[in-house]
Amino acid sequence: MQLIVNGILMGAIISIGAVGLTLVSRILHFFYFGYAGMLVLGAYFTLTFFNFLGIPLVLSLILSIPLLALLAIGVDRLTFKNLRSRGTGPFGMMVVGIGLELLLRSGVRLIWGSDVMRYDLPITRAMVLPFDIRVTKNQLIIIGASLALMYLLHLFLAKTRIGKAMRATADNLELAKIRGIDTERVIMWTWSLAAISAGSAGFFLALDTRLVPIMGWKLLLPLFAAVILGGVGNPYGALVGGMVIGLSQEVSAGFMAASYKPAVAFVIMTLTLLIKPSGLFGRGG
Amino acid sequence: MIFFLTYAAVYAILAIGLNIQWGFAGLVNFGVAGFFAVGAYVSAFMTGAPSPYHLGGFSLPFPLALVIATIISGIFALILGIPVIRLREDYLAIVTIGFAEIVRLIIVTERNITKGPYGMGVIKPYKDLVPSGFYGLFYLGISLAILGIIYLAIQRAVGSPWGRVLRTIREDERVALVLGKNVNWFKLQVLILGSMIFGLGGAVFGHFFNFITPNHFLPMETFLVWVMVMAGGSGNNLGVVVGALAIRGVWEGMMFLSDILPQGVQVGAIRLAVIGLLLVLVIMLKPEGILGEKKTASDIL
Repeated sequence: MQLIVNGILMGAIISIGAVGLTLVSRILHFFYFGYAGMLVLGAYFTLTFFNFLGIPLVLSLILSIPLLALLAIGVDRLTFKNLRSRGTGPFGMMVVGIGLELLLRSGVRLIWGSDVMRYDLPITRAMVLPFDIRVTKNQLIIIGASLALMYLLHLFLAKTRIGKAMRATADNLELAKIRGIDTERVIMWTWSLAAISAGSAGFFLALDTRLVPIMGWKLLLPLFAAVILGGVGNPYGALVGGMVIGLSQEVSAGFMAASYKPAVAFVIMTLTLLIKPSGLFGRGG
Repeated sequence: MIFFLTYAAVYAILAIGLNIQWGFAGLVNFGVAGFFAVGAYVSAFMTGAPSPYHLGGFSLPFPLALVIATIISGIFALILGIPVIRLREDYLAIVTIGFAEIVRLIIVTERNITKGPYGMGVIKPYKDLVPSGFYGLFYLGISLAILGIIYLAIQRAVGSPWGRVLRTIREDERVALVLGKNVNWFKLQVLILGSMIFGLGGAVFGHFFNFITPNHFLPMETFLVWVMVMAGGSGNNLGVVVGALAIRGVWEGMMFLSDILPQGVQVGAIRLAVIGLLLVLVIMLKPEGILGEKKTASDIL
């Protein structure tokens, strides 16, 4: 039972992270490994504002997100925009993304050091609920905030003009261009939403556990599994996918070694690709 | 220096393997580290003395162990390949990363078999026959010999009709299909052959380093080999061997940076950054894609 609660918590973190990733994967048409950098910087920027500048925790997160967005857009201008106009395929972009992840991770190590860090928060005792479940206040907040953020993102995508443009572009790039949608603007907004998504996910993970430079990479692989499971480009799929992956990973610890958790995500991802490559909610590839 | 060259030779073997897969056939394999690990551990199991701490201990002779390691890597490739070979490149990349990580996680977790994170010792073959001062040179010789054999064999394979089919598949799969070639079967063959070479490289590595841990088989190893192949010129065997030497040189050379940089600057992080930068540059700077082999449509055109 405790494992299921852990699974929901992990699922919430993965889901909020996966929404941004699924949009990036679909609209920019490649698997962006550099997203791990956005995850980890979301955590570390917040750390700097909170631990070192004394800014309240939530405000620290809110301040970090535009920084992340600017960084992502800047990187896009420097690299991917160029590759897009050259017609580079998804593989080439992916390799650049891997390179960027290494650069960002090493940047984190150089700036903040390799040691484990934590947010300067008092240690909270877990509450004990029925069924012998232990959960902390922060964990409940993470689950709630994650769901709330996803709802906000849903509203954005459904109600705003740019949100609709993004969904149209995610659905069919060529058709969107023909209809006169400014795809470069859509891309900028995609990176911005990704910043919200990744920044929050990174922060939540750091809040629940700790900060280490490699946390982005470690979270990234289950995120890709969630994205693929839910159907690339489908934010609601990302939500479901995230929950499934989170639950599967945590519950698996009940009957196999905990170190195999990432393997569970990989296996689910591979099975998805073999059985229904478009994912649970995806349309064509 | 001998240590460095032997290390480079191991990676050159890996680079040739990846070159067949990516350089010649356009097959994206990000699971190099996984096969590398399989080869190393299998050879270690085969040649070690019996021990309660890990599997194997069959004390088999070195050449036999190499062969077994190579074959078992091939079997892994076959099992992995049959379902995934038809995936598009970037999906194949993610799945193969997943495979390599699963292999590594199994090695880490199943301590009774592999001694997990504590690592396994690997024997020095023919240690008693060679005077200890010369052993380094002796093993370098063995490594270079194996590298040479692989190099020549692959050069021949690539020049053959089989090799031409591979290049056709790389350039445009549909042409190969139109010509009646069973593309997926060729891709599978390439996956298996390349992965067997990775396994062989792994075995050579194990007996060279004499100690293997799961940390020797992190995704970074795969990325290193990819940089070697892409920077050395995919599709060019000599190029990738040179690439292996060069990248290995950069990797080891950066350790000397710690002498000249101010205190507290982490060289490990800088190494990561340099490899990352190389990956980015190699894609961005090569004019059309990343093939180091001239595209030959026809001599008539």
